[in-house]
Amino acid sequence: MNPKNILFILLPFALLFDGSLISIPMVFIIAVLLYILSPTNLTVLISFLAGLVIDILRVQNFITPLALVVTFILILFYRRAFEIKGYKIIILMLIISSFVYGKLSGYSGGLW
Amino acid sequence: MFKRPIIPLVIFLFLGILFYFNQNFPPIRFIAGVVQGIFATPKTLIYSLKAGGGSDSLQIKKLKRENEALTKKLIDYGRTKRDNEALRSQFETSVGPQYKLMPARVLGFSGNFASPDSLVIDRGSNNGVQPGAAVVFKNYLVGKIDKVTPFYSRVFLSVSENFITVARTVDGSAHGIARGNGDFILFDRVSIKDTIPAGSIIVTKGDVDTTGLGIPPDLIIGKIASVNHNPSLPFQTAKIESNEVLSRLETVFIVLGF
Repeated sequence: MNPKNILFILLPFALLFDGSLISIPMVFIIAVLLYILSPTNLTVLISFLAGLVIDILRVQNFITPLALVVTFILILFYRRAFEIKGYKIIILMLIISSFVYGKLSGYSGGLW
Repeated sequence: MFKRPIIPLVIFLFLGILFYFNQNFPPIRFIAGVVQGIFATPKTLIYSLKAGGGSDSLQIKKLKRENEALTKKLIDYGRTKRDNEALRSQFETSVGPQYKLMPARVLGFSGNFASPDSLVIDRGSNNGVQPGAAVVFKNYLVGKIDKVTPFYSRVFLSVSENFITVARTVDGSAHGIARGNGDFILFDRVSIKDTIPAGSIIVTKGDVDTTGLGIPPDLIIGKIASVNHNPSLPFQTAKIESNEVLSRLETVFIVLGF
């Protein structure tokens, strides 16, 4: 099965589990992974909406959509600037952005 | 992919900023209410999986119940003693007001998995909940409501670094401020002349307005675990450990006022 499709299926479950059963930013991580694999406008739209929903459910300021879009812009600029199609640095960007977002949003002290 | 993928991203960035700065805009609150209504039941069920973990044996449950009953008796004794002193002095009455309580289910949490620092509950402004209201469970102070949306509210637990209230020992020998410090609660700004017995119970001193909104008095915050006493300083501090059950609650009660 296509990894993108798996992530699209996982996203609604992440909305349910994030903040109820687990204390890691699942929605953020899945959204960024989706954009890495499929940087389309539909992905951006779905990620934005998922970010809005998770902030509504966690009763916090709408920081997730902003964080996601900023991360997407950084990934886009990096890909354009270095014209690299590999994933190593982008995965590193994912990890760093997840840590920063987790800290700003009150997740478990930096993913532990 | 479009030739200029940056344009949609910039548009979404502006939308994100709009949402961030207009959270109380009525259409946004309406959408938030609809989303919260849809997700309330499934999130409650999923959270109960997390809260139900680590259940105790029957013996331990019985001991915990007895411990809670004895703690309540200790607080009632303290209140009765103060009542007697007040009646003797004829200056004040300390008959406690009756507070209105509203039950609420816990839907989610933030922070550490084992020891979260905030909870999300399924009551909001549509149910009459206001920021600053205390959240309790039996005689324990769970926390204080920080943010309210149409159907959900966020509660900062007493261990949260955003939590602070006035507190005292149950026998009144020490008064200070209880502030959250991550994993534990700090009993701070206690005069060096006051005595903090190890193991003593810390209760709220009371911080309510004229409508009863706020933290009522005589709610248990926790028990003193250790004391930091330096005679050369004007204040001493103590570490308060809260009841571990509070991090696994599925139902709590909001103090709405008188």
